[in-house]
Formats: sequence, C-alpha cells, structure tokens
Amino acid sequence: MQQGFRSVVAVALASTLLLAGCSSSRQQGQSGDQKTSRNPKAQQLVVLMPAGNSTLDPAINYEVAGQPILPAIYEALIQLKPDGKIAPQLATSWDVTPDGKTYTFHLRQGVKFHDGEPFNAQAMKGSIERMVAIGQGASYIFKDPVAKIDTPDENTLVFTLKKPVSHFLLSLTSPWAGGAISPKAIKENETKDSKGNPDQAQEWLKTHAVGTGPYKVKDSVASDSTTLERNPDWWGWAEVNNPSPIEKILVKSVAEASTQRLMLEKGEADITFGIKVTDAADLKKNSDIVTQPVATGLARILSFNNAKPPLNDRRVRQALSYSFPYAEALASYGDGAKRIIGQMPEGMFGYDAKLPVYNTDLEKARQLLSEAGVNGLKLDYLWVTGEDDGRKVAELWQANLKKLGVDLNIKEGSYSTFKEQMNSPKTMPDVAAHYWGPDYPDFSAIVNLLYDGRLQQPTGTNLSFYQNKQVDELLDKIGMETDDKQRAALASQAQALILQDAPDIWVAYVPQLIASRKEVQGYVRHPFFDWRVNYAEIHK
Amino acid sequence: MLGFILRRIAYSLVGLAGVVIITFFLSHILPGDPAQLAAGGMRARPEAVEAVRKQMGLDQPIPVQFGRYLAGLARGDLGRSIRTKQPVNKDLRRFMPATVELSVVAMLIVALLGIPFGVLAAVRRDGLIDQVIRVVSISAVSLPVFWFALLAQMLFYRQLQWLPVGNRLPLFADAPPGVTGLFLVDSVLAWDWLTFRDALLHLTLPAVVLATGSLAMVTRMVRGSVLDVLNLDYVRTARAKGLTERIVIFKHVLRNALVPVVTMLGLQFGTLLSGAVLAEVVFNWPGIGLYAVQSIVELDYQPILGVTILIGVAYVTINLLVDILYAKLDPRIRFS
Repeated sequence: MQQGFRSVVAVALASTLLLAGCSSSRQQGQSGDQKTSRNPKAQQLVVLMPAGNSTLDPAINYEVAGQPILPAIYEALIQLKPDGKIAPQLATSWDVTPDGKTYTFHLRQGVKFHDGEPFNAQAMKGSIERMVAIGQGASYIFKDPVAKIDTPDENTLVFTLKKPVSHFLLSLTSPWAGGAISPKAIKENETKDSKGNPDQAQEWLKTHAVGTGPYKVKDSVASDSTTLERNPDWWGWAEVNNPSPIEKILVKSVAEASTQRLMLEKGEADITFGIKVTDAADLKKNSDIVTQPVATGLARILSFNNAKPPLNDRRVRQALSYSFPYAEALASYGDGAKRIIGQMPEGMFGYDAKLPVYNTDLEKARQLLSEAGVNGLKLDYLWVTGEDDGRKVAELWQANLKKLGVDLNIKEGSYSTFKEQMNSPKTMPDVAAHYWGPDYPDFSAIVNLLYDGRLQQPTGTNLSFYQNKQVDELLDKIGMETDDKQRAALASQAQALILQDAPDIWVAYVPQLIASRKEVQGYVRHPFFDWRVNYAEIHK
Repeated sequence: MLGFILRRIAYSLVGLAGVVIITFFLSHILPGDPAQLAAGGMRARPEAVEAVRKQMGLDQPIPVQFGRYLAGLARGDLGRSIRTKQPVNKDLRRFMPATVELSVVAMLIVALLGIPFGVLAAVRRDGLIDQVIRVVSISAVSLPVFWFALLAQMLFYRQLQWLPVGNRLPLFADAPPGVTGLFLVDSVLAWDWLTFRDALLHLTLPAVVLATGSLAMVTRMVRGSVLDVLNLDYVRTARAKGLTERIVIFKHVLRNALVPVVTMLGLQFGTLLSGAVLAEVVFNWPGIGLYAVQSIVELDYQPILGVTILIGVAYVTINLLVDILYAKLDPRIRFS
C-alpha cells in the first residue's frame, strides 16, 4: 500500500509539473493557436454566433444562424446590397412583363459550381423545384406565387406567376430564398429516406455544400461550427474592388456572451454577434475593438387579444397604447434601440415617417377608458422565458397602468406555452410579447402577415386575432399594384388604418451589438439582414 | 459473483426502463411543438411546419411514437435530433468523448489530490495544514460551478493569459486522427505532442473547475474516514506493537478508511457527469452536456432521451464497479 500511495503522489506531482510546464511555455508567447494552422492569422477570420446553424441545405435552412454562412456558399439570382438596391448575382439582368406576371432572368455565363459543374438555367430551376418539393423553410417564396418555371435556353429562366405579385423581386433577395445547388452533387449523393423515397440528397446536404459562392465548405459540425475556405474560381473576385485575402473562415456558435467577449478581447475572434448590448460602453474603452450597437430589424411587439372583451373595443386598445411608457422602454434597451413609426423599418418599402405615433398620455388614456365604460381592468401579460426585455418593458408599463386603475398581471411562459396559448382567442393572454422580423425587406413580409384577418392563428401568422375587412382589401390591392408610387400610398393608408385600430403596441427595434477587432476592415453591416457578412470584401 | 453481477444488471435494466418511460412521457407531455420550433418558430408557414412534423414522425399519436422509439432502441437506434438534423447515435459518438475526457481528467484530479489531502489533514489533525485544508475545502464545496468558472476564465484567460478558454483545441486546429475520440490519447497515439499540449491546455480550466467541488467533498470525506479509523482499537494495538506511524497509516488505517471513499468516488463520478453540463456550457466544451442543454431549449426530445439513457447506463455501470471493488477492498463484504 505504501508503494501504491507513493506512486499516486508521484503521478499527482508529475501531472502538476506538466501542467505548470505547459502554462509557462504559453506565457512566453508560444501560442498554440498559430502552430496548427498553415495560414497566417491575417488570412483567417473567426465569426462568433450566439446560436448554432443546424443545416447547410439552402432549401431547408430558415434560421438567423445561417446568415453568416449560406450566402457565402450559395448564390441566388439577385441580391440586395447594403445600400438597399437590388443587384445582379447569378442573373445579370431581368425583365418583367407589363402585366406583372412574367419575370425573365438572363443568367450569368461561365459560372461553375464548387465541384466544377457548369451553372445554367436547368440547375437553377432544379434547385428551386427541389426547395418547393421539400416544402420547408421559406419555400413559400416560390410555392405561393409561381405557376411554372421555364428554361427556353441554357441562360434564360422564366417565372410565370399565378397573379401579379408586386413584391416578387424583393422576396427573391431573402437570405432564405435558396440558391443554386450543383445538380451533379444532388444526383450523386441521393439516398433513400426512412420511407424509402429518394431524399434529393437532403441527408448529405445538411453538412456538405456545393454552390457557386466565394467560399466552399471545408468542414461542418451541425449546430456548432462551419469552416469555409476560399473558392479561387469564384466568378465575382474580378468584380470586387479590393478582393479579400481571407483563406479560411470559421463561423462558430458560442452561446455564452461572456465567453464571446473574452475571445474577442483576446483576439481569438474577429467579429462577434452575441455580446450583450449592455457591454458596449465597457468595450468601447478597448481601442482594439470596434463596437456597433445597432437597431436590428427585429421589433418587440405587445399584441392584444383583439377578439376578447373588453379588448375588442378599439378605445380600450387605444387607451392602453397611450398608457405605454415609450421613452423609458426605449432607454431600457440601451444603445442602438430605435422607436418604431408605423410598422415598417426605415429604408424598407412601406416606411412612412409621417405616420402618427402613440406617445405616453395618461390623461387621454383615462378619458378613453371611461368612454369605453371600463373600470378596474385586469390584464394577463405573457412574456417568453429567455426574452428578458419582455418582462422589463412590462414592469415599466405596469407602473403607468396602476395609475389608471389597470392591473397588469405579468406571467412568464416557455416558448411552447406561448405558442399553445396563441392558438385560439380563448386561450390567448390579453397581452402577448413577441418579436417580428421580416424574411425579405418588404411591406408584405410584415404587415400582410401580422394583420391580414384571413391569416389568423392557429394556421396563420396573425398574432392578435385582428380583423378589419377594409385592411384586408387594401392588402390585396397592394399585392397586385405594380406602380411603386401608388403602392407606397396604399401602404401608408393601410398602416394608418391599423394604427388607429391599435391591435398591438410596437415597443422598439431591439438593438444588437456587433463587435469586431479593429484590424477587420471592409465589414459593412447589412441594414436588413443583420448577421450577413460579405466576406469577399473583408481584410485584416 | 457472476450471479450477483447478472442480478445487478437485471435490476439496472429495470431501472433504465423506468428512466426511459418517465423521460419519454415527461418530455412529450410538456406543452409545445418541436416541429414549429424546427420549422423556424412563429414565422414558419403552417405547411412548412407540417412538412417538418411529418418528416420527424411527430404527426403520429404519442403511444405510436413511443412504440417506434422502443423498436428503434431495441436496434440501438436512438432517433434523430431535430436541431442538428443528425442521428442521435452519431451526435453522441461525436460529443461523448469530450465529456468522458473532461470527466475522467476531473476524476483523476479528485482522486489523486483528494485522498492525499484528506490523509494529510487527518494525520495532522488540528494542525496548520489541517486548518488550511478544512477552510479551503469548505469554501470550495460551496462554490457555484458557474460563478467559479467565470472567475477562473477572467483570471487565467483574460488577466494572466496562461490558459485558453472554450473548445477542445485552438480554433482552426485539426483534431488528432480519431481512434478513441479522446484528444489526449489520440494525440499520443499519433505521436503529436503539440496537439497533446494544446488539448491538455484547453482541458485544464474546465477540468479543474469541474473537479473543485468534488475534490473538496472527497478531501473532507477521507479526512473524516481516516480519523474514525485512527480511533479504533486495532490501530492502538498496531501502535502498541511498536510499528512506525507510517506503516500504521498506510498499511492499517488507509485500507479500512478507503472503503467508504470508494463509494464516494463512484458517486462523485455521477456528480461530475452532471456537473459537466454546467461546465460545458460555460466553457463551450462540445460534450453531451452542452448538447443536452441546447436540445432541452429547443424541445428536441430524442437527444434528451439519448443523453438521459447514456448517463443512466454510465451511472449504473459505475455503481456496479464500485460494488465489486468494495468486496476487493474489504474481505468482510461478500456478494450475495
């Protein structure tokens, strides 16, 4: 036993010494981070995300975590530049017939997929049809409006729509609108699914990708990290002013905000999307780091149950809208948060700075409540676990409501509870806090989905049981209108009507902190797709 | 002996079946719709949600889903994760080695330091060393892992810059050729000492943080156990025979004092496995703990079940080994 004990102590001592030895060698600057990789640090980029990306399949991916990855691999027909303009991508030009029903795209020639296959109209058509057949993600972008797709020749793709859809072009710029996948890769990697049907390479494309973009996938660990490497044959390098020398990009999920911050401060990470906005002031003191607290397109909305008395009375909803402490709520979000005018973010189609806004006015609120004959109102308010701002703004609001004799009962529920309760007007709480962000930068991706009376839960996206026939008719008109000026006027009209009905309170655009190392140059934040990174223009 | 082991395995299987049934129904009874979550949340179109639901087999009634799950389980198929969209088996194979490596190293720290510290404290009872060990261990037992981990990160990563934080290897570094999945072992097998050093450095903080609580518990336990034995008659006899103190402690005291410690170590391994969940989240350590937490957040049933079963099996196996070891250490204990 004595012998045994001695050896135990010896091993313990030895391992302690070993550890000490290792740490001292690191202290001398022999960082292990540089030895294993062949590229110098200036050719590597590390992007940290708060959540992992689950799949690389552009037909299925429908998550924000896909934004910094998929557009680097797969390309669509057209793209939306950070300046808000539609620009060519795999299509060089396009025409629309005057009736707004036929869209003809002229495709870029000489483009090759990562596996060497040539890109052509059939490949694009095949990718879109595959997306529609799988029927997940944002496949509605094609499924709903498109009647058929033709390929009159190798370089021409023609969409015929069921009816004119004024937002069709803009919807094609969505980060989730798919992209061209190599038909050869789909064919070669097709297996049978659990029911014995061909899976269109769904299994393989989860962790592999063969697109036409500036970067290829080197390695992918689902929901954890994706390593991209430069595609030297990308058609677009010649068109970029100052092409990026970055050879390797690692997009990694690091859930802990504090860990992201440490990694950025130490220079292990280059761009981070998960550090808390409240850390912005502190990070600003560090001259190695550039911080951008910015308003995202994500809006915090408090939806009323419009079908439940007394909230079905417009005056009550208006009164509650006047009672909300907008300024305090905005301040509680910290740097970057932004007040909302109407329902559209600035810069997006449908934004109208002249629309009226509700400001805090307790007198007016009191008056409206008494007009409606409402006394001693008790309201249930539900916020979703993890979305702490939902609780914070409710607490601020509670104080104002108390002065009006309204009792706000703040409850927390899991996302699942939330979803369950939102299914019917009987179970929906009086007020439910949720977020909304558009799939593509257009009026139809926000107002239609939230306020069309025919899209009510449980099968639709209308989250307040709001219904106004006049609004529905206007939305239909806007959808068909091809004249932009006319369309904008109608959009303002619809928003004004909705604001008057006060079906919900739009609190603020939630801010996000984008923090990067100062040596990272050329990163331009995309105003609509918050996590998109245009790697082809980045330098270190 | 064989009969005992077989009987224990049979009991364990019953226990595991209970775990499977309870976890399955608890996770399915919770209100919520994983298909909706997987399809993109509130903004997902109903037809997209239905497509996902059908693909995942979630359109079937719960008893049918349970039947299917059991049938899969019998074939060793643990289902498929909604979040990673991969088979749970494949995910577990990928994430398990990280947790095993972390827990085993933490366990080594606990055993290799806990026992000597405990013995030292007991032998020097009420002396300075004993006082220091007692104060440190009582503080360490009460340290919340989460907080301690953050503190350790601030100190060793940010201030002193001695140790890396998060992940098993430096970013962009290639993993050693996968033989066991344990990077320390694989890198030695590949004779790649740089990777070994990197893996060890990355492991240090999480393992130490994870081990601290258990280390303190074991130290205190060993100290108590040794003190109990020191007061027994046969120890007095041994001393009276004129044996040196060293022989008394190592030959007579330790063997008896270690019996309860072995149980304790076995149980601590279970604690370490569950403690790994927290440590893995804070250190972004890609093990089954992090995998389980992320799955729970997204109502991803199959991985939750898979991890539960895996930890259940590990726990039961360790307990069995402890029981066998028990008899080896203490001849008075017989298998029955």
